[in-house]
Amino acid sequence: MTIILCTFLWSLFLLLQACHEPKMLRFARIQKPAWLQRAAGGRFVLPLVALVLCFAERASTAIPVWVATFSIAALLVALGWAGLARYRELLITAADVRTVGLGKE
Amino acid sequence: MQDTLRTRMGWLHAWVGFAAGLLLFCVFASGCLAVFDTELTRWLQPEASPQTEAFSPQSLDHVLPAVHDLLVQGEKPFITLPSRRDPYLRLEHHDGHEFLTVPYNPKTGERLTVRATAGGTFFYDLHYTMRSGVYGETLVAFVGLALLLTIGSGIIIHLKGLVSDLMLLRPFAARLRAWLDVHVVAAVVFLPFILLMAYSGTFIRARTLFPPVSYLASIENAFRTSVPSTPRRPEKSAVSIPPSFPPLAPLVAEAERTIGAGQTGYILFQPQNILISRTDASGPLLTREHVDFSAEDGHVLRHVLLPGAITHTEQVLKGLHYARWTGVGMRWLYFISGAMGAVMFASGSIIFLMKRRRQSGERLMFRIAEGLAIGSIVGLPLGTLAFFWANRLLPVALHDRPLAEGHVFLAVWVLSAVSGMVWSLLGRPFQGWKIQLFCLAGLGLFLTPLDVATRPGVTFFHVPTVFAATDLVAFFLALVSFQMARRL
Amino acid sequence: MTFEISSAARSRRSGAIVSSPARRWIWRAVFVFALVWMAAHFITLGALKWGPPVRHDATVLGQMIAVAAFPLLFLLAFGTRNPLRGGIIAGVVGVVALLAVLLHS
Repeated sequence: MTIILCTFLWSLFLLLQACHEPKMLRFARIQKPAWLQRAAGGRFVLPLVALVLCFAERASTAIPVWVATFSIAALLVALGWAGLARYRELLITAADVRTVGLGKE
Repeated sequence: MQDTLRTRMGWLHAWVGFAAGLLLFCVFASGCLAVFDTELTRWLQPEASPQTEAFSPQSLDHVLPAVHDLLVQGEKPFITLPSRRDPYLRLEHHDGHEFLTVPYNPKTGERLTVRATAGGTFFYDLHYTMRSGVYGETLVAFVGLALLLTIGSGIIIHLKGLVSDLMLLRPFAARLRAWLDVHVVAAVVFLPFILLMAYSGTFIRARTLFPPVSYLASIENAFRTSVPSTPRRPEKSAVSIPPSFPPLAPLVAEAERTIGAGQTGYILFQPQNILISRTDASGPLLTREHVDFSAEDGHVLRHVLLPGAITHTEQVLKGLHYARWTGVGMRWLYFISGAMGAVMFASGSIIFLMKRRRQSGERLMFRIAEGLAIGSIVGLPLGTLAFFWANRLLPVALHDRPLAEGHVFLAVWVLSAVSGMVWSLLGRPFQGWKIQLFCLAGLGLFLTPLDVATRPGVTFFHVPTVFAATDLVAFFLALVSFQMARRL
Repeated sequence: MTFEISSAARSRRSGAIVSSPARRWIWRAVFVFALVWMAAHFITLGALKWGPPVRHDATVLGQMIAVAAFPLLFLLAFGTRNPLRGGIIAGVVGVVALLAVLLHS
């Protein structure tokens, strides 16, 4: 349960982190949402909460669990972001084709 | 090419990474299977049903005659007590390669009739020796050092984009770009795991590389022993083995008073002693603390627990590397991380070949390198799946069955390497990749039907799901291989 | 960098073929490898002298340091712009480790 919860918290943090990276935003062809500006620093609380959870479960294994869940979460976000980018790309391409078609008419 | 820090490190990363990477792929792939060695043994002995009765310490005494027989044969048998991971009582001994295991009913102590198999520890032996004894161990430790070098140089090359490119994966970009992203994501995201495994793994086998004796002395000794100066002394007389052992249940209870309730894991038998040892599952500190009893009358001889900060550091490193303390969830995290490590080496090798194909594709050395890459990256998974197939298809009564399984694995691996090399030398490497990837997809895809067809008393819904998990992982591997073969 | 540019310019002026640095790097890597390996070996041997009194602990400590030092020292020695400087760094560490083996009472 802790592993799932930690992975979720890490995923949320990394997703917010990706939204702050201009390169990631360009890749997915999205703009930074305005509300993210206000919650910029707040995202760093999430890994700490995950760490506290790990320690609460078992102190001797907390760090390995915390680090391993980070890796899994980063992989999940990378895969998800790649999927989102592909979806946005296809969406924009389809919209461009439609615009060109309408222009010709 | 300019002589800058980045180009130097890039050169080192590419060449050391490729040379060691083909072997490291096998080390990581077999390592991530070895994490589930107990579970795989259960898949490989399908006659033992997934659930069984509760453990009764009195059942231990029924195993003693078999223990005695093994001791007489000169083996070092030990009993693994039932745990959450494996509900059976198991009598095990090391045959020089893997731990051969016979399950017993944990309540009655009755021996179960199961097929002989090399079991999941086959991959453990493969992981750290490549089944080549001390030479293999040295080689694996050496490539561990090479891995540390590759990681260091990789970090220096990628330092600028370490955070910004952490999750940047572009699978639909140009081929080289896509493979680079796969390589970087697998390497950077799983860097803590890979670094820990590289350091702890190399350290655990460091005695083969950095022995605590001078190399000069070692060489001198090697020459000295080769000269037959004095006649050989007669063999040391065999240590007497008591005709019967004391009942084990009171010994386990006594050991639990010292080690802690429910903390005993193994009972190791020596001709004069019985060692009851702490379970590896008790925590990341792999203390191997044990209470020793006399094999004659069962009185306590000593309690062994190594003290000291350095010993504890060593035990933590071993504990983190072996991952025997982990529960199911953490075990899966280790498995996925190991698999991603293997992906890192595979993608790195592919990038190495892609970058040099245009300029050196016609050279003999390049073709040999590509043949080796096919043999390693596709050959090892092929051999592994062939091992599973052999386990179910070889006759149960076959003499030396565990060895036969190993031979099937090796034969398929060699066949894959030779065929990859031939296709590469003929100038048609893609054909080689494609055929083998399709074979891999086929073997993985049909493992589930094979399991269902050859498992006695098959049920689809049971707990724990060692059978379903193994079949699903094979199915997933089949899908990935099929997709890769299709996109080539 | 000045050295590389001037040597490359000189070769261009003289019409000689500028050789790839990769060939030089091979020899440099072999040289650094030999030096660093010896340093790691002497660290393992020396730990028995200057390390903890228990032989097992001393061996383990020496091997821990040697395995960690090998890649760090190699990258440091191979990474310096001037090959001689890299060799001197690795050599000095090796000599210090050797002296610790020979001189420690």
